[in-house]
Amino acid sequence: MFSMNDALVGFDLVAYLDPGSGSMVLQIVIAGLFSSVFFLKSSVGYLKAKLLGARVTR
Amino acid sequence: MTEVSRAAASFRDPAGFVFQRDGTLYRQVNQVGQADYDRFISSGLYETLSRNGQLVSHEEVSEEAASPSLAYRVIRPERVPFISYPYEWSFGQLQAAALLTLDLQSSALEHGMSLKDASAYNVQFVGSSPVFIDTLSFETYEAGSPWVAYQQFCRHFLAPLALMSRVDIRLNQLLRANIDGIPLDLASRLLPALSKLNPGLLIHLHLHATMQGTHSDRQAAPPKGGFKQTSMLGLIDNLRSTVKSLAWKQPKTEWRDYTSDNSYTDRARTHKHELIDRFLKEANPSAVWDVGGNTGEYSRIASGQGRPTVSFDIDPACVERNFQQASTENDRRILPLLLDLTNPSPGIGWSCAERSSLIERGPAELVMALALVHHLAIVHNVPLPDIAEFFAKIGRQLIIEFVPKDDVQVQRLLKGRRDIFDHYSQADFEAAFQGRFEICERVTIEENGRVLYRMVRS
Repeated sequence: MFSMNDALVGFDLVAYLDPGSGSMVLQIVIAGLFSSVFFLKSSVGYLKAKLLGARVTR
Repeated sequence: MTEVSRAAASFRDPAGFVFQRDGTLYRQVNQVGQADYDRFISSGLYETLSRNGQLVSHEEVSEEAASPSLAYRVIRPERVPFISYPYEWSFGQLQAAALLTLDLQSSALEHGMSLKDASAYNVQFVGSSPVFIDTLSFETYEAGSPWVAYQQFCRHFLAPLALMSRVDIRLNQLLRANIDGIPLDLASRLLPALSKLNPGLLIHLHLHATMQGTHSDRQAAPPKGGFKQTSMLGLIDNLRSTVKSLAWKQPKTEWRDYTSDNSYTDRARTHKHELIDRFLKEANPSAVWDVGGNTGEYSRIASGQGRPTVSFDIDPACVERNFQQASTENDRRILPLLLDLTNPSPGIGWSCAERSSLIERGPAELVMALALVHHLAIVHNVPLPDIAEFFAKIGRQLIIEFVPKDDVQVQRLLKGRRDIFDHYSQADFEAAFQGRFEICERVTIEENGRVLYRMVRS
């Protein structure tokens, strides 16, 4: 099972501003959600463009 | 003698800094920032962004660096006409600046780069168009890394936008007290519980604030699987949708409809327009500040003559309406800004110098103050000599309107209070200003009785 501590091991992040540990962990925790929603939105957009494109061509 | 000074706000990023030499603005790129700068140029990202007007363009110059031992390059960025700050922007301006920042991050990712900061102070406005000014904010994208500027984006943009939209428009002033953006725990506490129904606000503000509280003492790091680029694209897309989902429903305020709801007859208004048009042509200023500009009716006479014009007003609804009109017209000459003249923006940040005060950003070549003095004198009890002294600090020339005591608007201000203003008369007004300005012309507006002056600082 993924734990918060796993998220905090072995990454050499060098930012000139403090990115905030909580902010970094939050992104990691919801990375899957962002990915899936983005994939879904992109696919719907692609399909819409295809269908509309086909209709216009016809 | 050559005078070199580093910009007061330019000290955090080791990749470089901004300096001025003999009044010209330069940016030194340090050797530390060499690899990122070279990639920024060679990847075509700079070309794309500057061509689209999203980033100030620059020229590489052979000018001597301000710190030669650290330097890799010196560039001369294009100057923006007037530096403004997020606490002076309307809701729409802050939203436009947020969307620009996200668009830049999307473009950066397409070129194998990423924004390493997301400060609202990296955005300026040229008229109604937001433009990014920090050429060194781009670093090489490291596959698997979360966005290091995520927290800063939420503090500088999302938190104030949510508070302005969901609580009170005046909460943008929290940005003046919190120079690195509004703390997320504070934003989360101030927002109504219903804001949690917006998934973006739930994640990026409420959950984010909780995570900051529970992980404040740990080292940041991603999981072994990494933060994939699709996750990054998803994050940016989600932030964009969240920013776009926020809106501000403008209330009817005292000033928003002033332009169409005041004591001017058609002839009086036309005459005032003609006078201002003529006075401006005679004064011929290179730039104008219109203080108390309302929705920008008279500012547009100046901008219409091709003069960069800052149109200040105290009312967020007026500034918003002015900005929306400027955006619709794609006007690059008029910059609407929020300003309370009785408490103008001070110098803030490190050493009180990171963000300049209004006075430090002047003096303007010409200041217009139309139908304003009676408010300062009667509503705020500022003595006329003090008003004249302030205008002498912020402007070299003046177009100023005196509204006599028997004017219906002044009588409205005096309603319900004791008239303690024995020294509010045209003679007192002229005496106060003549100590600091030379009166070049005075004309009484037809069918109105108000007097318009053109003055030059002595």
